[in-house]
Amino acid sequence: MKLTYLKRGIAAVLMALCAHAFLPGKAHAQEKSWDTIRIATEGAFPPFNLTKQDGTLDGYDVDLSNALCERMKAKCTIIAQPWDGIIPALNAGKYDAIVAAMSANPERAKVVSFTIPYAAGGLTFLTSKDNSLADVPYVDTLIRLDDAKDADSLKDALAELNTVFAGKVAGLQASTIATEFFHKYLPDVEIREYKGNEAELDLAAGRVDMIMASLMYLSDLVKQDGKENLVLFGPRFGGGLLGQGAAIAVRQEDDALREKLDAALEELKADGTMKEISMKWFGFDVTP
Amino acid sequence: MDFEFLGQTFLKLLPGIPVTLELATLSLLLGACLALAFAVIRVRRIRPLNWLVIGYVYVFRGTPLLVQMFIIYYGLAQFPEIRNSFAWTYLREPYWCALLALVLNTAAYGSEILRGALLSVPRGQIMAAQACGMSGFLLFRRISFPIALRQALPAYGNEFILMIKATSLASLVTLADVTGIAARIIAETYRPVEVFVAAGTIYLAISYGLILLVRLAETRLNPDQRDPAPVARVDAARKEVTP
Repeated sequence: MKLTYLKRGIAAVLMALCAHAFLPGKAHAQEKSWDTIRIATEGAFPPFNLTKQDGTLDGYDVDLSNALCERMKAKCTIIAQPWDGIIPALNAGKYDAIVAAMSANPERAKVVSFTIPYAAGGLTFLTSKDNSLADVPYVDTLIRLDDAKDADSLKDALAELNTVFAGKVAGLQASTIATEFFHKYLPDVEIREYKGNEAELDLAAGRVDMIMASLMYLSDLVKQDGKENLVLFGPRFGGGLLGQGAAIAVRQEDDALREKLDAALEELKADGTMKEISMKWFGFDVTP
Repeated sequence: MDFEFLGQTFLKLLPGIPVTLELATLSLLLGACLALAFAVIRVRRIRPLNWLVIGYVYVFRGTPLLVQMFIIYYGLAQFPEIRNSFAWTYLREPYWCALLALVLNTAAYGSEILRGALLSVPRGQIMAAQACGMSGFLLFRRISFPIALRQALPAYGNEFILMIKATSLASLVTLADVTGIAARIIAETYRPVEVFVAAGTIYLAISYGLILLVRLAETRLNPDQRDPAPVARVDAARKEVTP
């Protein structure tokens, strides 16, 4: 008999624990005052976010996060997380926000919610100077996928790209908007998907002919030592499935946190702090 | 767990199976040939090849397959000499790089398994064969190799299964094998649990088929273990005991 009581006792404790773990969910999240926030970044996408030689994180995203936390009077920890698992880990509760040059696009907005954008510039292409694609000129005007007045230039640009991309291979980072862009707008072009930014190595080795990525990232890349052989080309795209620019991602139930971040971003925009950080890392203003 | 999504994912992963199977089959076949050659070099102590093989086995067993694959795929591509050589026709393609890494890796492990098996061939059997006038390749083909193969099979079966799973690393050099497609689906849907469960099930099914094949080969190669009912075996045992 004693054993039965003991068993019942254990069962009751276990059930209580389970109930605690599963039931409160939302109520618990709303109670949170967000004075401590865990932020994830990739740490491999300079100048947005990078890992320094000593292992610490730095970059535009990191400086911006620190400025935001200062405004919100929150204690923040910033951790590095590989890109391909960055959204699942947010939803699994490993951290509370992603500040990693993530474009706020409709596909992602189905699983996370985004703050207002904090950097915008669109996406463009990169190739090496000895590739025939280098003959395609770089056009510094943004073609918006969702804007009716850009519809004609979009059609022309895609028609031209489809011709010059015949027989070429694009190296793209998996789970980025660039891959989505190719799937939807240039489905006939052969693509290879990489976990991180190894596509750059394969561009240098001549295994792929081009890369598509954020202009802000690529324009910094071509300035680096040893990358003199790389050149931007083609048109610049934004809007639609490419999103409105980089934004901070939070879990969908964490509205309070999103509103807090939105307010702080507006402040940083208004008083010029965002521009200051942007000048430091990009050399030009990426404030949307 | 969303079972409808799980089913859809499963169907989407099916096109990756041929790539996985092809990589595994080719690497195991080529790897086994190399392994046999290396094992013979080691057992016969053919110098200086013996030293080379010892070094090779040491390096390839001592480093992770992932590192080997990255060095072969990204590392070799850094040298213009290699990019300008005839080898680049193959090394340019992720498929051949992945296959090369898998073959070299399994050959290192396989050669040790086969070396152990060759060493375990009873001395008496070899002497008996020599007494019958056999030597050299004939003795190896008729006596040493068949006995060694029987010894090696259980351990080599392990290596088969490990290789099936090792092919999943090929997805890191952009190949669309089962894991490669799984990674893509996760990238699109952000639902890793269902996708990994479906991918895991496929690997499990392939491994199961392989286990059956190895068991079949074992029974074929060991006639004494084949059917004739357990009664017969008891009799045989008794006969040995009774003087």
